[in-house]
Amino acid sequence: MSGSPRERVLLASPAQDSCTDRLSALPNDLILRIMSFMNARLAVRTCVLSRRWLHLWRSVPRVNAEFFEFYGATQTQSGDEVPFKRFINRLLELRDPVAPIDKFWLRYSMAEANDIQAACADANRWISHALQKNAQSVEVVVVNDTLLVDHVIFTSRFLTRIGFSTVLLDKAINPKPYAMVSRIHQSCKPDSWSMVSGCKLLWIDCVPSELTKTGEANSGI
Amino acid sequence: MAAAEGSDGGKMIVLISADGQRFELPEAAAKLSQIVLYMIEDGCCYPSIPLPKVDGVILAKIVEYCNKHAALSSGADGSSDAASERSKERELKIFDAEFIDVDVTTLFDVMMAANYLNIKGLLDLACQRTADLIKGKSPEQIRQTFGIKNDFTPEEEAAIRKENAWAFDNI
Repeated sequence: MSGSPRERVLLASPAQDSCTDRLSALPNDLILRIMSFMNARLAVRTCVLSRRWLHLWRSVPRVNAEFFEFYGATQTQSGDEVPFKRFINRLLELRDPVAPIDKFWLRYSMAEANDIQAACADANRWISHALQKNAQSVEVVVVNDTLLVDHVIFTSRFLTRIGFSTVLLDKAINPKPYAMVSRIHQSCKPDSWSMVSGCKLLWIDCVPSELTKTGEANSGI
Repeated sequence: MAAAEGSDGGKMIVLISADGQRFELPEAAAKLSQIVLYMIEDGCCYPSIPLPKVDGVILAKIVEYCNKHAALSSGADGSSDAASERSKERELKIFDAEFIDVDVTTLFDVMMAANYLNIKGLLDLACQRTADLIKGKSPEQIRQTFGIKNDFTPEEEAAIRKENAWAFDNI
């Protein structure tokens, strides 16, 4: 989103704004709304800006867990997974326990060398945590391999929308084979499964407490 | 009082800014503001709606946004085929990007007005833009951009970074 004309505007403006910090003067709900448009790592990193910002990240209502924020952290992609996992674990642990999560967004790259089962277990735990914080919307986008998600964790009174890409939704006791399905299933009952491949996102509109209805597929992410 | 009518026969709504400027816009555009929508529903929108918290310069921008979005919202002209929907979406995207490409002061004025008037699309646009201005910058660059005063001592800042090393370092 950052183009050169905008940069010029920016460089020209600090002088007039230097004495009034309009951003920090915003009410908390507006700052948290702004932070909802940041990936999680950037949101946490705002804590060093000033005392005003020290604890704001703990209450951001949208958690955008983005693996690519850790891309290149180590020599290998499977190595990058270690700081990413540690980050998400710490973030969920240290968030304000009473702050709800409206939306949880997980973008995860599962490299071939990784322990797929462990990655799935972590992702399931994170999604489950978000749903315990009354998340209304969960989006999971996975590249390089398929993430297996246990449908049981989606039992929630608050969840209204799920978006999946390259995610296999199933009962843990009966994992389906990793067959790629490009067709979008129109009915997704709790005991069935569905998966979309490529960059398409499958949207599931939820009836509270149950996973009974599939919304139409949305072609964009 | 009889409702004013626009050239196309639709109802027109008049908004008055804090500095007394008068803005006339179609009801469909004015309704993008939740607060104006409630006033229209309650019948207290005639002869005009005073908006004492929004000055004329910013209200002009808000009206521009609402007019564009109401005119291009789905089904506004009766056509609903997928191709024209996509082209309208593209046009709105381009409009939004140019609309919000403003200096920081105007950005916050628009954000505050969108918040007060409860125009969700515009509020999200302004918040997204602010987040984009923060992305890719070091803490010091962010402070410079927005005039944030660093009230930590260097020792305190180092301690915070250490405490949150899981977010700062690639450990």
